Amino acid sequence: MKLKHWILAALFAAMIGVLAQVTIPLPLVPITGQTLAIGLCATILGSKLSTLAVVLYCLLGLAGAPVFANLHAGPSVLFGPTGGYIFGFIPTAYITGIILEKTSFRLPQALLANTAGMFIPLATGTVWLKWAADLEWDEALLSGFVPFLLPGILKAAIAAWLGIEVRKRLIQAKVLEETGAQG
Amino acid sequence: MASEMLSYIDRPSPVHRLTGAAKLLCFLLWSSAAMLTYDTRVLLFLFAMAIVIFRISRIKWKEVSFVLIFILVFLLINNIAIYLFSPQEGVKIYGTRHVLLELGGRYDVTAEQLFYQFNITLKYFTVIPAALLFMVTTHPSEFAASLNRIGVSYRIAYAVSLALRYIPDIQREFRNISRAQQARGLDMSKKEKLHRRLKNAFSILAPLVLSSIDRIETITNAMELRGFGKKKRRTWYSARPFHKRDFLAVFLFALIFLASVLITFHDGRRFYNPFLP
Repeated sequence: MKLKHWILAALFAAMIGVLAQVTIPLPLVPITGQTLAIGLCATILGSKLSTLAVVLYCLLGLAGAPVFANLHAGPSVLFGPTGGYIFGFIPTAYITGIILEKTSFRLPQALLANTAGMFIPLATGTVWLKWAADLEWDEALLSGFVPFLLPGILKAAIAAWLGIEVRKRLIQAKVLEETGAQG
Repeated sequence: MASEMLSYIDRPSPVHRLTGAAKLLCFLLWSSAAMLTYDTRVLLFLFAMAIVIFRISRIKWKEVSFVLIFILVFLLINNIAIYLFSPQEGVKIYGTRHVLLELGGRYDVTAEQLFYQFNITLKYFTVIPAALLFMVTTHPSEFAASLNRIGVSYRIAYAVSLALRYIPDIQREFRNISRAQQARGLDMSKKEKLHRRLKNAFSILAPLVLSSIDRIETITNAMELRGFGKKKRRTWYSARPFHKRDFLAVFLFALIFLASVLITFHDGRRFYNPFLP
């Protein structure tokens, strides 16, 4: 892998950390930036680099940098009741990116990829939440899955649209290669 | 975000003099202890010790107060959410039910639920000071050296360090772009219509990503011209050798971890139960 790709991944890890603290105020379902940033990262960078970026992000948080949502940090977040969502971001980045690489980096494919990817942390997070917090299935689903569906789909759409536009410009500027940043 | 995220604060304190690797290990042991236990006696001890260590570091509370307050607000929201979604969790765990306030059905306020959420809060109070402390007493360059020392490839360690350095840059960029767009009439507040607010979000995110990535070529070339990545291993300017105090600190925290696990699980359960006669 080229040095440029390492730096890109580090930059996106930092960006996920910053955007995770940002909320776009919408009625009823405020959109928080963490999952939006993950989808954006995967759409722009493709599977390999975005997975690396998310792993770096998790390493930062594991070591205590306050990069998780609401400035949380440390192993107690990763291994606490909500850790399943964060671990789920790693396969999310990979799968979203791989769907785009197998098809093409265009808006309809990006919408599909981001929507598919969006369900992964919800699934891993809910299962994890059920065991870690000793909940019943209905409690875990009601608190850990259902409330995030609508915001998740909205964020998938935003990440898809914005990601494709940004990626197009980055390729024009020769910062990214056409085939999805193969190393 | 009205203030910078945590950054290194230099002080002549014993905490600063520990190597980053030792502090990282101590922090991981400490967080694991706080995560594993629900024993109130252990949590209270860890909380008291967190205060003492903070005092030793000479970092003032007001220097980290912005982040602290932010986290405490979300701790409050978290506690409210626990009550809303799982109001009888404490009753289930401790096996008894002492109703303090009847609100109807599963939303009766019980002593068991309050005690359970008190333990959750103590966990926060134990881990948060340690996380803040590790961040503000460890220089990012030395942090990368520490990761490399505990076995992480130096490229990955350096990437983590780079990401850490980028965070304040991206924050500043976000703030500048947001203000520039607001000066042009962009409104992100509730006064605007939904679709307009979404479009305004694009107006901040797109230039944020593009301007942040603008520096990639410069940094890549600068690092390659300086020979980065040519060898399998590297030395570290900021690396510090382990001294007796480092081994002592890690040993002490390992003892604390073991003791907390033993005390917590000696009766086979994670929870200290004051409700049993």
